Amino acid sequence: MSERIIVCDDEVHITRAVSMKLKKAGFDIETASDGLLGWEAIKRRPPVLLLTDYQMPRENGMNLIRRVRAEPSLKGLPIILLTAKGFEVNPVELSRQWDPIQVMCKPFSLKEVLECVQEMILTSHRAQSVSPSTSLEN
Amino acid sequence: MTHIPRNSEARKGITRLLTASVVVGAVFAVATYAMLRSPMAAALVLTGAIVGAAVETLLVIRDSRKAVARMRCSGLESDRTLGIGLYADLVSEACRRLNQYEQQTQEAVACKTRLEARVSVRRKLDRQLKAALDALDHPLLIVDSHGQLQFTNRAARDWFAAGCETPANRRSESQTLCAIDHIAALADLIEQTCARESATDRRTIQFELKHAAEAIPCRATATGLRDDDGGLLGVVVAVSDIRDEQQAKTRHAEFVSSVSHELKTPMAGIKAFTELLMEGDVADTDEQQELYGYINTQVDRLTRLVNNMLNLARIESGVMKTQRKDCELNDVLKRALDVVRPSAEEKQIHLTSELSDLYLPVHIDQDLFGQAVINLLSNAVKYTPEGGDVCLRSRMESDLAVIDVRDSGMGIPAEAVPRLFERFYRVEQNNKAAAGTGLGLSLVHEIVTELHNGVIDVQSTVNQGTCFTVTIPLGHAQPMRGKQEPILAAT
Repeated sequence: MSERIIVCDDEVHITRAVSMKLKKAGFDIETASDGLLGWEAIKRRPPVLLLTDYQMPRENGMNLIRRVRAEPSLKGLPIILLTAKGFEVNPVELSRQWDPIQVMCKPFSLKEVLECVQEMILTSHRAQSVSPSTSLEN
Repeated sequence: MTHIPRNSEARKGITRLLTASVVVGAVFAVATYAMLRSPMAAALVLTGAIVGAAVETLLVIRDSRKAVARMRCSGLESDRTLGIGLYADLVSEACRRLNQYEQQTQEAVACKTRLEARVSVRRKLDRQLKAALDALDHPLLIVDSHGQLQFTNRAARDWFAAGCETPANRRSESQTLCAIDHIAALADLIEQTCARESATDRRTIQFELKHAAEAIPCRATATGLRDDDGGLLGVVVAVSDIRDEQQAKTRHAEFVSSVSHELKTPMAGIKAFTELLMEGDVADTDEQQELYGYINTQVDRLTRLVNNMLNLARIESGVMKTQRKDCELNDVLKRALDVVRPSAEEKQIHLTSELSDLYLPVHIDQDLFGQAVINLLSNAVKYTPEGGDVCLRSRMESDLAVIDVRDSGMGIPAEAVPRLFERFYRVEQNNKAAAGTGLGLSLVHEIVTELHNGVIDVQSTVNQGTCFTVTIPLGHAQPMRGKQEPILAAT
């Protein structure tokens, strides 16, 4: 079964372009046009990665991230934040607060997005595979 | 022992001598007071004059006695002859002295007149300076080298009114200083600038001033005043209200952020689709064409955005070259309707017009004003669901031309109306209905209000519709030839 990724962006052409690239790489993609729809999609079936825009109507990307991290089962969900707000977003501060999270500034390269998605999912899997052995040792 | 001559003429001479000396001394004393403002100095001058006169008189008498003694030694026998001779000498000497004092008195009077003129000029300059400083909107404070408040202008007395019940125009320096002491940052600034011996004589701080239940962000600049030797004379503190400056900075930052977002978003789409096509990720030719279409649409979006921003910037900076001409308003409105009609037909929206039968003479830039009307009509079509209604109306009211653009669309929430003409502002609830740069209404506002001295108003009810009303002055710049205005339609 393909790994599920949720792509949240109010710009249709962005979600379409990202979806096309990730689908071709073998991922199952569900899109949402704002933070509220994105949260509903996550609750329905948690993804392996969330890719969200910052500025969206109804609920923006940061509020969505707060909701996700407030949920214990989603604390380790890898998140990629796509944003046109370049210098207003501090990646170091975001990472400190909401890790695992990566920031990609628009306009972005789809190839780099795919590489980032694959790397974050791999790291997440490794982290999950380490955790059971640690609890066993304890 | 000194003998004072007993005969009346000699006594009169000496009395005149003493009187003249006292008068001269008094004149000098007044002049000294006028110059130095010191009663002590004036008293000293007067005393000196009297003492000097007394000493002179004694010297005159002594000299006369010596003359008498010499005369006696020379063998003069008649006391009467001696007395007459002595009297003559005394009178002669007294007259000489009187003439001298009269001359000095005249000089003193002339000096006093000059001093009075200088004092008058100086007082006038002081009044002018005080009036000029009171006319300033910015508070100004001057403290001496010990930090004691010496001067406040009217604005300072108005501003630093915390806890002071005395009206500003009767408030003393000490009362103003009391209010300033409550502002720790300002008091520190004055103290530190007074204590500063070298280096920078100018220091600036920002602080908040409580004024009429409002906290006003302010900037205070303290500058040390120095004499020619570099000694500190005092400190002048100028305070300014920086609310407008801070608001402008905030608006600028928001504008830059919005521009960045609005530019980067279509650029992201263009880059993403271009990359997909270049990488061969899209095999289907129909899909490829669709992506090319997306790219083209985003380029158009960027173009509109840049053009709108440039137009706005040109209007705001005053370099927009408007070409206002006399024309008939309804001609411009009809052309705008023709531009918007295709998009209305696509959505099966009933686009109607109720243009005035009167000839509506206006003096407008047809391209810019036409663009403003097109923007309003486009928005009306954009935010009206399929099958809805959009109506363009024109009429004359007194000496004004009034244009209404009414739709039966989704309406605008009341809280969004005050922000409608802000750049990049888009009503959140309506964002999904249609794409837009958020600059269209800003441009309409600038064109109507800044370039055509008009007014724009909006009335709206959510889910019922919106009506934008534009009002501009009626009339041509040049009187029309061969046409009557207005022409009443035949019924």
